Amino acid sequence: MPEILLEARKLSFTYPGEDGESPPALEGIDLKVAAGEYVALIGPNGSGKSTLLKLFNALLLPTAGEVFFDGRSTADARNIPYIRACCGMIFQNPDNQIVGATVEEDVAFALENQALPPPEIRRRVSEALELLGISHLAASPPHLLSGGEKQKVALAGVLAAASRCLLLDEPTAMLDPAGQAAVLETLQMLNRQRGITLVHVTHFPEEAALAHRVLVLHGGRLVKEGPPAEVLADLPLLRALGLKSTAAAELAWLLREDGFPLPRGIVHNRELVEQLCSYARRI
Amino acid sequence: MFIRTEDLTYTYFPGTPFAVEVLRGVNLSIARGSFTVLLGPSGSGKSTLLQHFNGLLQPSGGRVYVDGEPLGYSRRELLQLRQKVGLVFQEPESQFFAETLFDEVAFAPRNFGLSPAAVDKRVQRALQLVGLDDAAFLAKSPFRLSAGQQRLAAIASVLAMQPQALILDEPTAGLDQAAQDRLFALLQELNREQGITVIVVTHRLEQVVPLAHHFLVMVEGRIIMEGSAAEIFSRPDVLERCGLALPPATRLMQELAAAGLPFSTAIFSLEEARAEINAWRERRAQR
Amino acid sequence: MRSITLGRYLPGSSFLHRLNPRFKLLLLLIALAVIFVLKTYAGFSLLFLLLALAAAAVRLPLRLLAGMLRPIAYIVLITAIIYFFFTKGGVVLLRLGPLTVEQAGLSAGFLVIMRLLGLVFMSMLLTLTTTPLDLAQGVAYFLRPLGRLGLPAAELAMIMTIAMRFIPVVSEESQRLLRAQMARGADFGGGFFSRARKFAPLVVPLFIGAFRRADELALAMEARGYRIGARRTRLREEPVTAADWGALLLALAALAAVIYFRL
Repeated sequence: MPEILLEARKLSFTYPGEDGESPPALEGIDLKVAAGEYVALIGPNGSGKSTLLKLFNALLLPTAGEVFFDGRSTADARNIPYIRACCGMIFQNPDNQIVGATVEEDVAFALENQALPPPEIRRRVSEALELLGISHLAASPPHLLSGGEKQKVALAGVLAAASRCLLLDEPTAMLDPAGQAAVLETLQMLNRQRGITLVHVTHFPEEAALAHRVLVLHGGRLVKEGPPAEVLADLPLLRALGLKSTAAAELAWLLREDGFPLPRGIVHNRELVEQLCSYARRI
Repeated sequence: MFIRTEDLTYTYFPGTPFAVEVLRGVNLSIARGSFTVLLGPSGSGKSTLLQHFNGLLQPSGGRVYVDGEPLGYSRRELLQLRQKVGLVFQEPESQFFAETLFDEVAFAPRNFGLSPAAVDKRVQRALQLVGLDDAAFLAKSPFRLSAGQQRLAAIASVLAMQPQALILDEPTAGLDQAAQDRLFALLQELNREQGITVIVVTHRLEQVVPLAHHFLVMVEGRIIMEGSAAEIFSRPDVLERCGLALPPATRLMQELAAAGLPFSTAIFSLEEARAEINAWRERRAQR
Repeated sequence: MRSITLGRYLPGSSFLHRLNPRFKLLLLLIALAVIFVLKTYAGFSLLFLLLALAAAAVRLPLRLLAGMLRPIAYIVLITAIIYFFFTKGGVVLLRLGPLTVEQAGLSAGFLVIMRLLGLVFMSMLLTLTTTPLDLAQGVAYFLRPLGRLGLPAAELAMIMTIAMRFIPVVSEESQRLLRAQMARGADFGGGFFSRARKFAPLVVPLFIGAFRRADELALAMEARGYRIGARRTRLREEPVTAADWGALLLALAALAAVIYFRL
């Protein structure tokens, strides 16, 4: 049994409504995320994805049920510094999460909050900048960077803080294809080489396909979870929720509808390539 | 040609140490009634270029022509131009200020001095086009609409000028799949049914490619490629070097072709891919 | 973005860049004292010679300097006119109908303009050679004793830092909004009152955007472990060097000299 890092038990959350009768943003969520796992969270706008992320690092507290990080409840205020130190968060708009006036000052921010000694901060900051390949930007003011670079700065900040877990709220939504590719590559590297647990909210099926497990939220409820091959191949469910799957999954589905003998569970391009090649060899 | 530029250049902060040459000689033509997609990595000058089409920016060098006329930059000329060429900025809902959806959409027609009755008509028409014409919406605060509805309302507020061309800068950013589908359906209708010239900056190729007639690729302030989807996406090497992506269906077909399967790579949508693969299967079955 | 150059940091490694920001603030304070004590042409000539040398050491481009002085040109002009025409005494130098420019007015006006220019020039040297964050930290250092009186010194410093970090962001945002509303036919020309009325479409979204931004930033800061009142360390604890003390002593000596020699 792998170590469980994040856990939600019978979790419900309702935003304090102005008219008192706002519907719950999340209802009855039971969920476990193992250390080192890469989980993607998909669902239409307003399905509760961002809310769930904020509950995971105690930016919001459950209205009912409980959330645990590393076995510690977010409801206990004494656990919060520990949870925030271990659990980094990246937001959609890179402009609104950068605090520092220069890149290195921003990367140092979380470490300064942990009151680490300055030499230790400097060492960790330069290590993180190097790992993400942005050492040359150390002294740059953030507003002169591209979107992709800004997200890398945010990721470096999390990395420098030695976080074990990273909560990502559509981190590529405002980036161009090159920026998107750079951020995704960095995420994969952090997960594989550093064993950092990722919870990644995304609108892009291609991004969800990179995860070990995909969770589908709809109307505040967890309606499906499983490996990408299972969730992203479930076209009827995705379509009913107004979602799309990857190009390979969509095409495989269309071809199967036309009577093409393809197995279920095709999500990645290479899987479709393999299947069509083996078909070509057989027939 | 509806919009044309001649050696258009633009420099931010000219004459200071911070001077940046953003446009470096742009020559392009956009046909009336066409659907044009402007591609380019971030920082390539796309947004700066778009703002020249309705006179928000004045060229540092070169010329812009709209409807055959070189642009003039007097107040009167600009006001006329902005009715002709509507520009929808990135995240246009961030410009909302009015208390009701009606007032928000009426902002532009009122600025052009139309009578209350004419304004009313324009607002109704614009909201009808974007599908927000339910009477319940009119008195609603634009801030209380859903994200997708806000985007549509912002587009309606530009459509209320009844422009001949509509320019949109990354109109789907931040929207979920359903809202994106709706938005592209709207652009298709505006272009095909209403005859509006559409120019759009977007990275959502799988949705936009089937609608578009014409592509422009901009890199470092210059148009480096233009043409049909077939012409643009047959050069994946160039696109990749510029940090641009292929439509997912095209990429898939290229991977299949690279694996030795006899597929055309001039395929830009899943439906085309489906037809290509089915045709191949039938050919094999007949043998 | 006309005043883009005002309050902007110019990356570099001159001796002014390397001085400790706390000492730079002290130096500015002393220099201000010098300016207000100075009253002879010779004294000002010496001061501006020194400032010119400092500008050269910082490698301040002349164009940048001109750009920075442009916004205050009006203030200088108006001040000059007021002093020239309304301070009376001494020989009448010029007569324009009922108005006269007299000796006392000329020298008083000259003195004020010199002080104004010196003040602006020196503040610019400070902001050009010190990052906003360093500046905020420097100010925070001097606020620290007030912490004992219950003033949230560290939080004030954080507020200053963030305000400075977001100046370029908000200025870009306001440009964008201005153009977005112009694209919808808004016309921001015309007289002052008609303009003020037309600014709702600009000011309302700017405020809404600022609040949303502040909200998100607060969340991001909280997520990164920032807690009000908690102890923090700094990436760079600015070291105090011999050069800092040297510069401070020189400045004090200069102040003493100006007073002693009645420059």
